[in-house]
Amino acid sequence: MAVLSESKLMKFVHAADLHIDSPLKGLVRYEGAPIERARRATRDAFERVVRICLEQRASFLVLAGDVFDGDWKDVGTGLFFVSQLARLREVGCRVLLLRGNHDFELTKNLTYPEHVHEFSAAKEGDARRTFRFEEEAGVCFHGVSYGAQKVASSLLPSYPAPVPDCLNVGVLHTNATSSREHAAYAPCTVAELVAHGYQYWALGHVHEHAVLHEDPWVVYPGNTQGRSVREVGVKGCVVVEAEGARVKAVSFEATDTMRYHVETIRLSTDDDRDELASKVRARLDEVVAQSDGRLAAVRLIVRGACRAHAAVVSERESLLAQLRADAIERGGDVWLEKVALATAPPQSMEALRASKGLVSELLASIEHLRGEDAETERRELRASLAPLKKKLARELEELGLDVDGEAWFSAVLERAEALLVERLTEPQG
Amino acid sequence: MRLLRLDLERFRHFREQTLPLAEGRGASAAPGGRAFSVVYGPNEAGKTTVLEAVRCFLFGFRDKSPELTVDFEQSELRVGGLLELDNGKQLVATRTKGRKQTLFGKAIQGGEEFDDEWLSARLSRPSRAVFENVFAFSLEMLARGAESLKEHEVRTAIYGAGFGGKVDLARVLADFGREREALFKEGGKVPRVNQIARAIDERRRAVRLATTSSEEYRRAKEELARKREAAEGKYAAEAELRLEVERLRSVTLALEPFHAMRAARDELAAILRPPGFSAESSRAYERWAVTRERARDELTSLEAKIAESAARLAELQAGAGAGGDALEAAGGAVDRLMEGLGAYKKARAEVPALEDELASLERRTTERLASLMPAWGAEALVRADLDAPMRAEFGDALEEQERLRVERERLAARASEIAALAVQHEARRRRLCPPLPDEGIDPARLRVPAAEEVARFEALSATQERAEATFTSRLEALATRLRANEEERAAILSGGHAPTEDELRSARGRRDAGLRIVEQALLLGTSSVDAEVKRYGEGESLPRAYERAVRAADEVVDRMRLRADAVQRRALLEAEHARLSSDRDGVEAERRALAEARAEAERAYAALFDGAGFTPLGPAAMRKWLDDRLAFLEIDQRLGEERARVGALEAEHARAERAWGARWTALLSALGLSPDTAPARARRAVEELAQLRAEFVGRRRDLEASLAKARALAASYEEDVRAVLARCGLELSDAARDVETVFARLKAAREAARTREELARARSGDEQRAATVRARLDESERALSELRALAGAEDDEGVRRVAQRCLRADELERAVAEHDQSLRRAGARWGYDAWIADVEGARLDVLERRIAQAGADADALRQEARAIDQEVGGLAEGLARTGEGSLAAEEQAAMEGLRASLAEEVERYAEVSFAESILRASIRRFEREHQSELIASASRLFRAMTNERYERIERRLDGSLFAVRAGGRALSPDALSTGTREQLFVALRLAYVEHYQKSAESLPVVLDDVFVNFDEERTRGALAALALFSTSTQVLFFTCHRSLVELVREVVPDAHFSHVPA
Repeated sequence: MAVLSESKLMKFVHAADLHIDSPLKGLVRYEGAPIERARRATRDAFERVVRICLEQRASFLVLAGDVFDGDWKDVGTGLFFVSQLARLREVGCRVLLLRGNHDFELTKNLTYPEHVHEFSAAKEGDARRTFRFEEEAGVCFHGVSYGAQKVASSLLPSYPAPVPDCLNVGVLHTNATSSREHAAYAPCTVAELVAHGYQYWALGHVHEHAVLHEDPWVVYPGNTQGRSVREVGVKGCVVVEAEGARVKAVSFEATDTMRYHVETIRLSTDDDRDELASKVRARLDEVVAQSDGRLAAVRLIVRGACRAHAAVVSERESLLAQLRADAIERGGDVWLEKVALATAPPQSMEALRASKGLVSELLASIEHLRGEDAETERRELRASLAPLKKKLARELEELGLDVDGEAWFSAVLERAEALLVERLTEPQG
Repeated sequence: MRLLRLDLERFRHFREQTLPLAEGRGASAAPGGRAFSVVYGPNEAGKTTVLEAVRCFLFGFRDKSPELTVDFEQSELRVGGLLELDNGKQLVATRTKGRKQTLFGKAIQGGEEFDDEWLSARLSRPSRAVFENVFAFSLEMLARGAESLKEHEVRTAIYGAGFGGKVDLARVLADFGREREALFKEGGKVPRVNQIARAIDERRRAVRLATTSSEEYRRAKEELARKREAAEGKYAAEAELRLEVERLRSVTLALEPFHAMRAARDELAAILRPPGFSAESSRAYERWAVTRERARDELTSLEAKIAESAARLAELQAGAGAGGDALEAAGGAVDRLMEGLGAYKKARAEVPALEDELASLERRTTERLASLMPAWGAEALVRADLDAPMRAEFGDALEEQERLRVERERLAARASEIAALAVQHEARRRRLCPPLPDEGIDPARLRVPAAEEVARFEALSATQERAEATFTSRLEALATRLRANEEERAAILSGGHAPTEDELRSARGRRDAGLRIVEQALLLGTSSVDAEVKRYGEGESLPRAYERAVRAADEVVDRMRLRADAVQRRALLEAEHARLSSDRDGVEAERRALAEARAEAERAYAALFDGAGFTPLGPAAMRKWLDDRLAFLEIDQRLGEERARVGALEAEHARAERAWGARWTALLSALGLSPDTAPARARRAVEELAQLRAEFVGRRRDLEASLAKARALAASYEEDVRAVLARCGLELSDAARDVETVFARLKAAREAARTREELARARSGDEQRAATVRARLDESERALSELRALAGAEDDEGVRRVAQRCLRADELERAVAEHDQSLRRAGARWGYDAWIADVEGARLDVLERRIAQAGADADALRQEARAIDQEVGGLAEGLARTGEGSLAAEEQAAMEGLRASLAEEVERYAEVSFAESILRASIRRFEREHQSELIASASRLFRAMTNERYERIERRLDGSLFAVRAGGRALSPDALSTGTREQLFVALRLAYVEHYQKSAESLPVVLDDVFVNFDEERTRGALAALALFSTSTQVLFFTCHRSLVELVREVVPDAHFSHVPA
């Protein structure tokens, strides 16, 4: 094991929220979609983390919680993890593992090699909460694992005072930014962390990379692989370079092998189906060009009052098939996660609303549905979905699809409105 | 609102066309007045284009309308019209194509300007779709709408009327329903959502099945370990049994050696052996006995050989002669003579051959001299002066002869060149005539001008010729233009319509003269100017003549004014003619001056050759002549010089040839050759004699040297032989034969001496070996004596009997030791003592039974172990599959994919359900709010259309629609004839139009030949209803049927009629 002197450089890699083998959300499957690449994405991302450790000659790998997504469906998930850790043993890189809210009780079933240290859960007098290397390396890692899924109070009091003349690294799975995207587990503030006296806080739980404070450093590496369209952009880990008891540099390294994109295409009035497809192809080419060989999971949103709207409504399936075929033609580097065809008829909705006639009356009634005094009508409308809700209660919950929510209702109502206009104003064959 | 006029300014193939629709008539109609416009146009006249123009005027051009750009670009399209609002206000407007502000209009009264936005708002923002769906009727829409009535309940029929025939409301609702049910149906299996939900359940089960929890994994690993342990136990037991079998087999194999060892020990105990005499002693006794016998035999043989050698040596000593010593002393000299014998014999043979060859050489030389120099002998040849200086002198003379020959040829060539130059000289001279009159005149002596002078005249002459050509050309051009001018003037003159200035002047003069005469007549009286009057009047009275003169002058003036162009042209031509004539005169004057200058130049040129005595040719020719003359002079000079030079050379050559002849004669004489000997032959003779002499002298010298050498060698050898023979007391007879004899004798003496030496050496060796053998014989005798004493035997036979007993005992001891050793080896693996005890007490049959049993037990154990092994393999494979596998994760990913699809389909389902629900709710609301009124209006219109054959439309409680006949019979739409059903549809549509315009400015109802399938009665009825309707709403009735036009005239007499513009 590397022994650090005052002047000797030491590196460690800080990663969190690997969620290995958790399924990626929202990917509508279709023939020719790069399923295998997507399914392996979380594993590939962790392999990249390990490769970064090897390339950087890191002395430690710090995993700040949520290595796994929940109960393993497969023990292979754990074995894969251990096999990757074994690669680090060969180069003398130690692993410091913290259990988070997702994997608080999982890793106990794994037998880790000697070079892996797992922080135990908060318990009075438990000496294993810290992992000290001061005698040989001048670095001390402090960490407290989750003992339950929901840890409502701060774990910070369980962290010991910093060891003098030593690089103190706190490993903590927490919501330190009051992020609404994530559960408020083990809450604490950046000020509290800074005040604790450690030189580096290796945080986990929030999936966005963020440097909350410098010197002392408070860092979220983000998750290693985006898992849904809500997690767009680059994902990775952090390489920390320390000299003695001082953090010298912190750099971010991408590890994701698949990246989510939300691409909105706005069509103009004259754009027809061909133009729609052409613009989609051009946008996909741009995405592929920017992806640097990664798989791009693209949520495509097509908007605008356009001539293509008629095809969007009446040739929806064939249009979707065409767009997916265009994606497949990009050499398996693109997965159309979802295609939201939110176009509108070419004629101005405002003009239709302002006109006289049944269409305008219909639009007025839809507008009325959006008002606060139409609660009863909205309820009646929602009631038409009751059998569906009953049938799919579990799936809707799994999907996080709140069909009673206002946002979802408004979005669907808008599309229903466009559908009605298209059907009632265009000639039928 | 009414459309009173449509202006097709730039629209498709129409340009600046106006189509009056109700202008001047319906526009100002009082309330209740009709606005019924019929637009007639045969097929292909552009009726549909006019309809589209109405739409474009009211609602703007579509973004892409290439069909309209027949004669115009998109940006040029323009259509306008005159409108009358319901309040009577008239507006004129123009529509262009564009994205914004495409309408510009102005009120007729007041002049307020307005735009698209204002008009749209004023008309309550009707859309093109509303206009097309509600206000426009086409035959196709009529048929479709009427057909849809069969299936409609009243609410959709009436509501659907609001969408016109273009939208089949029932079909829209049915499509929504079908789509909704294709997406999801409670309890359904086929709809997509149901399918996906089921697929998700299946995936969930698959995930469960594929799930391997860590506990299961651990249990599997433990089970695997247990199985492995069990298998290993079985294998161990089997191994033990196999070991026992092996042990028993070793015991079985040990039985025979064990018993053999025991028998050997028993026999050994029974054998008696003298102490100190062992088997080794007996083998030693045998060895010594053999040694003794061999020594005896060898000694006998050696003693015989020694005796034989002594006898042979004595014999050789006696055979050696007395002269042998002298011969041996001269051995070295004899050997040397023998070595030189070959050379001696060769020299003896060479002497006569060399002598013959010498004689032959002289003979051949003499023969060759006979052909070259008959008077010479060999000695004369040797003495002759044929050395190098003489041959060099000869060579020089011949080279000099060759040089003179070459020089002679060169002189001949130069003479030829002079002759050719003379020919050229003569030709050049001839080229100078003319202008030389006589070939006898020497051109060198002529006085001729310098070439530069002649060149100057040549240049002047060329310049003058070019000027002459220019003048000629200019004169020709001027003549051409003058001719054209004159021709054009002549044409104007011959036309006679362009009076000239003279003519005017003449007419005016006559007029002025007349005036003077008139003035004089008035002042002086007519009589005083009577003659002038007579002369002037030429038979006419003065007033008439003067009047005619005035008229003539005016006429000329008028003609000049009328033909001003011709007059002006003529004046221009005259001016040009004058200018051209002047130019021509000027050029001719210059040409004349040039001719004079040329004559003067020619005179000066001729003067240049006055001294030459002949008339020159032109300057160019004479300049060349002068060049030729100079070339002639040059040749003339060269010819003279060459002739002089060659003459001198020829004289010198003749002298050299004479000197050579004298020298040559002297050389021939010195060699004794005839003075007339040809140089080539002389030269060849000298060369051959020189070569012959060299060959003869060299060869004779070599032969004489070889002969002397051979003779000396033979003499010397013979002397040596004589000396050696003398030492041996012999006389020389033939040297070669004597040497060979002496040498043979010397060789025999030497062989005898060598044989004696060898015999002496062999006898000495044999004597030494005999001594050794005797010592060995003694030793063996001693050893045998000692062993016999040890064995207690008297003789060899007694010793041999004791030895046999000892050897048997020794053999038995070895056998016992070998058996013991092999048993110990075999038993060492199993614990020797116990094993040997087993062997001692073992019985073969018992052992064989035990072996068979243990083998069977071991086989059974192996079977069991293998069965467990298979289980272990299965378990291990399962665990290996689990390894880093991810089947459950894959299933879960697939399930997520299905969920994503499900989310899409659920949203689509909600979208369709909402759309359907909203539409149905709208229909219900419309029915609730407007149905009574609409049914009342439709009933009124339907009654009018059917000439009151039907009195009303009725809605039943179940929502169905019925048409009630005058007699009270109610018929559902599908029971009506097609024509009546179409009338019903028109009535419903018109009822909706009435409803629409209650809340908005009305739009014109447009009917595009919709009644062509009606019979006359229905058409009349429909027209009557439309006439009624047109009191509140403008009706634009488009048709291509003249009969319909006539029918409208009859039914709606105050209708407005117009034609589609051509």
